Amino acid sequence: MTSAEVIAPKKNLERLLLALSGGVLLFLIACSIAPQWMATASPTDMRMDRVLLPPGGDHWFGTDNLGRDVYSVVVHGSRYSLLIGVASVVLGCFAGTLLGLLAGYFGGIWDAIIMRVVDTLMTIPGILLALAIAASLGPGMRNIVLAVAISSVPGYARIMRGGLLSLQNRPFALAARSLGASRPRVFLLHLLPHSLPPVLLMAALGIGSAILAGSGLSFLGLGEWKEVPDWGAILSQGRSYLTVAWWISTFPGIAITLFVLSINLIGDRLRDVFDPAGPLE
Amino acid sequence: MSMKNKSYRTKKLPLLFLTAALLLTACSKDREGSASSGTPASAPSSAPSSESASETVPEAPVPGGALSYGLASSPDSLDPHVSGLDVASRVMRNLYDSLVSLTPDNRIEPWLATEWSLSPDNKSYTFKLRQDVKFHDGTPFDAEAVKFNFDRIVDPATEASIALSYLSLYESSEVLDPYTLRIHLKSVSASFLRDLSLPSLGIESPAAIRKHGKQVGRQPVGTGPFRFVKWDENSAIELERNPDYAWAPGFHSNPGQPYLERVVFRIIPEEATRIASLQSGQAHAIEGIPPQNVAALKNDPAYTLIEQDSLGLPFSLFINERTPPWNELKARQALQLAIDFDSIVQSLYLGTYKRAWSPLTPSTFGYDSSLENAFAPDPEQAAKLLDELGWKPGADGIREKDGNKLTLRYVESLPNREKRNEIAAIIQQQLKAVGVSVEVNLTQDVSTVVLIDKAYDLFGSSNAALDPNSLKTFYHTDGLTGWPSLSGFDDPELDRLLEQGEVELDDAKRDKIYKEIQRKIIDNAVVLPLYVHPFTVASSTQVRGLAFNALGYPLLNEAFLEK
Amino acid sequence: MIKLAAGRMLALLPVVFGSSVLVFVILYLIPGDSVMSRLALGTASPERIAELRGQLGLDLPLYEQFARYFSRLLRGDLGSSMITSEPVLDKIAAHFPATLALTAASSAVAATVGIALGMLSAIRRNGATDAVIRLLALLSISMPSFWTGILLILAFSVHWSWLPATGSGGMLALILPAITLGIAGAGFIARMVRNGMLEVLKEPYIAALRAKGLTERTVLYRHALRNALIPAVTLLGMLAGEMMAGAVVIETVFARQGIGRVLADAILAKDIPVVQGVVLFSAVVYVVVNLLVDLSYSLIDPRIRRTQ
Repeated sequence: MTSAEVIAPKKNLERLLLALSGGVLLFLIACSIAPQWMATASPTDMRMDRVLLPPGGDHWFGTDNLGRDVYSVVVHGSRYSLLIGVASVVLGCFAGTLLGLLAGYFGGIWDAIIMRVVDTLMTIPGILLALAIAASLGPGMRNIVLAVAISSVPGYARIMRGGLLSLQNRPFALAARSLGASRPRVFLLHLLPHSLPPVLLMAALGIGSAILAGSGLSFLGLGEWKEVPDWGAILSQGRSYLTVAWWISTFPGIAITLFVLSINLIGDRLRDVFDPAGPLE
Repeated sequence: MSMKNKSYRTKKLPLLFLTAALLLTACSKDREGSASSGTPASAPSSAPSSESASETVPEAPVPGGALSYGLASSPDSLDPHVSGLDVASRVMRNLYDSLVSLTPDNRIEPWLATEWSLSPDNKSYTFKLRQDVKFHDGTPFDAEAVKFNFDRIVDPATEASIALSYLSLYESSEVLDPYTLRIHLKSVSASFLRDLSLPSLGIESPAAIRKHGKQVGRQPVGTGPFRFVKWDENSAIELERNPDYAWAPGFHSNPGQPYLERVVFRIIPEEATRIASLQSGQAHAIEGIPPQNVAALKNDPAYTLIEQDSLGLPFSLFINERTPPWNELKARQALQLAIDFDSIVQSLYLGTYKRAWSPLTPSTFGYDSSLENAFAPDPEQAAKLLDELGWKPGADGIREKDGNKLTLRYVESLPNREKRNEIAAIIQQQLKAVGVSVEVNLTQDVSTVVLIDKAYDLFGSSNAALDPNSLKTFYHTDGLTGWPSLSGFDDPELDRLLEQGEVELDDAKRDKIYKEIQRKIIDNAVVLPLYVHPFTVASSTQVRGLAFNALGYPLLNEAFLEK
Repeated sequence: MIKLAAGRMLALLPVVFGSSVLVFVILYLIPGDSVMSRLALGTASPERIAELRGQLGLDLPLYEQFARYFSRLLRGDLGSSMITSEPVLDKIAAHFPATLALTAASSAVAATVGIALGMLSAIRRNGATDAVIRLLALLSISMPSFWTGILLILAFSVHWSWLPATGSGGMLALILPAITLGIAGAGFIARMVRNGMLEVLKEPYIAALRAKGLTERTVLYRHALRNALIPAVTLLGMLAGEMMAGAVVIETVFARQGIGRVLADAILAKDIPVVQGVVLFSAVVYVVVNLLVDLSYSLIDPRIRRTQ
């Protein structure tokens, strides 16, 4: 694709999709910050006489087996998904880039050690590692965040290190060195800013997969007890009622999908803008 | 928590059992007659339906075939001495025989033991045993074998579980001659003879135990109507007919080898999968029907649904009185009044479970029906009681006293069974309404939290048992095998009553004792009884002759598959 | 070539050792008493529990426990389940085939659908087809797999009773799970193939081939696709890993008896030896698969081989 094709979205469809994505994200962020305004009822209001009602009337998404309004539960539960997504990415990105930076800067034995550790973490594929960590740390949001963060560290570390290594022999870096700039100065002021974009891009796209991983762990039963269940937990709850109440599992799933899809659409557009040549290996 | 315990008597049970058996065999004939109206498949009522009884034409049993029976969880071991799970007994009842049998109308009759007598001091039983019985491995059954079994259960090296609790009063056995055994008890026991009928005290082959040691739980050898074939971990347990079988208990219409050639117990923990396997024909019968599917199966003429109330202790919430303010009777009564138990049971279980009012289930011996509907939810009164104790509502609605918030730690176990976690969710909201802040702790490690850390204020448990003596395990201050009692309720009078109930041999007197015990427990709000779990089995109409004993274990001697 | 393989395998050893340490540490940290949690309430006295802990060596210091663990590992002994006493290796051997079948089937689905759609998307780039396919691909990687599975069950098992919702036996029961896992993979592959094709189609030699008079079809399939797929091979390893990991959730949703399910159950039951065994096994399989992929990559792409 030429850069012109890349930078200016020609299709109205693309513009529309981006606008929709932005809208969805804003809506979900609003739900996370002020759920009481976006919901139609209290999520903890258990009406025993309104159990398992199909969508319609007062209950846009129906009610669950405890008589709670599913729409309101989904709205209130959005903050957990947002939290897991953002927190685990911030944590993982920070830790990973730090490791990558140290490995790239010091090189030698430190590089070897750090990359060995990273490789070891990588031998256990994604969810499995998060699963094992979440299992050992015990149930809870905080532990799910940690687990997902730790399993994403290798990715960031590698990209950071790779970026630094490939850039340090570029003309501009060598020129700076020859002008007398110290090594730390070169790294921090010249190499780091150029290596960051792919990392940040990865982080932006990583939010989506973090949300998927987090809700997956919650679905498997590794989340903690909350008065208002998060999306993964309510999806799991709905499984037993699939034959009599399809709405309990369906709507939270739609919420997760829309959330992640919006992030991915925007992230893709960002990638096209910032990194048209493709990610650095 | 499922822990079988002592035995007992009832009047309603035999009717239930008989009706179940009759209806299973008669039902399809019934439905063929009334096709268009879609007559619901009846669950047994408390009186036998004379209509279906008179229409029963005994079907000629068809030998052969393999019955597929879906279990709701996986047995831990098929060694009755060591197994700690009730579900194992479903399988074990068909692998092992016991010394005595519990008939449908609740009498104890001979089985592997042909007759017995009690010593004058009521502490020793002398059993005469059958001489024609062989174990599946060919070795003969005799008095030595029985002694070996019981001695093994009480031997600490065996690490026996439920079986040990039934032999808590066992002292020793004496072999008087090859087929006569005298059992000595440490004291009189009202439940011992009945407990002997349970699969947990079924007789294993000593030769097999000597050969396999601790692994005998995976290579079980008994004298039962079926022999063990194989066990695919978490998948299925397969049994085959024992052709030498000739010693079924008297109440069975088929005294010899079963009609079925094979039985496969499939392990299907997911509710949806279990239902699907029945509907697709993969399983002929399944247990543990989730409440949301009961109505549909009841109304489906292709299936028969059995619902039978369980025996023993219903699911109840134990209040830990060791931490204030729950040591105050008023505080506990406030909980009794603040929680709307009926609405919980009705809505969660869609009307398929009964509300429990007593620490015993209605079908258990000694049940005090006067406790039913003894009180109704009264949040205002609950609030008043808490006010009287000095707990005043704070700014956020949660009550406070001396700077402390009124919190209640509610502990439940994972994975979720019988929707107990949802009960916690509902109670959390109901108690919030009266100003109690509930912290729900769902943990896989209940034993540590409850028994060692004692970090709970409310903890729920149930117990399947034949005899009300199992109340002693849960309510006596020293009942819980070395651990502190669940409620911490320390009342010497209650302890004395529980001890009396264990040794009183006269039924009328025993009944009075247990009624007093129940009243005391409820008046002191020691526990909050919640629901009575019904035993549910759904089978396709192709299955005939399927019967169940009082505890819901399938009896497959007469079962066969219609072609 | 052999030297290359051998060299790579040796380099793996420290990594595998690292995995075993990681696995051990992770599970050592599990809070709570695993012995107590598996005994029914009130059936074992405090003394009995203490005895059992001693037997399992749970009172020994950390390094001793690890030494025990590792020496058994070297002998190929992955321990026994704490709940059923079944050897972990046997358990894995019994359940792995179901997972293997699932992984293979879903990879096949992902590959065929992904490559086909990716190619189509590249050929019709910037057209309506391209836009739709790209959106679908993005959608497929945004859907949580457990939800996709549930939706498929709702449609094909509950609503129209065409396919079984659960079970591990037979081809029929494999269809829905394979489609579920395959969907996300297909989206991923489609995007990759599209990007790869577009890169390759820009190359001058493609124009040269066209100038030579080759049909568009030959240019596309024989040359562009093949060259686009080469770098994609490296991602096969990652895909296999993701599939294996995804199996945990899918096997739970569809009640399949694979090792993913075994792992999920063992985690909930705190059956530590089983969790350790399965995670380690998965790590080893993942490493081996990646090794094979690396080696085959160097076989396929002559440029790489030369630089070794």
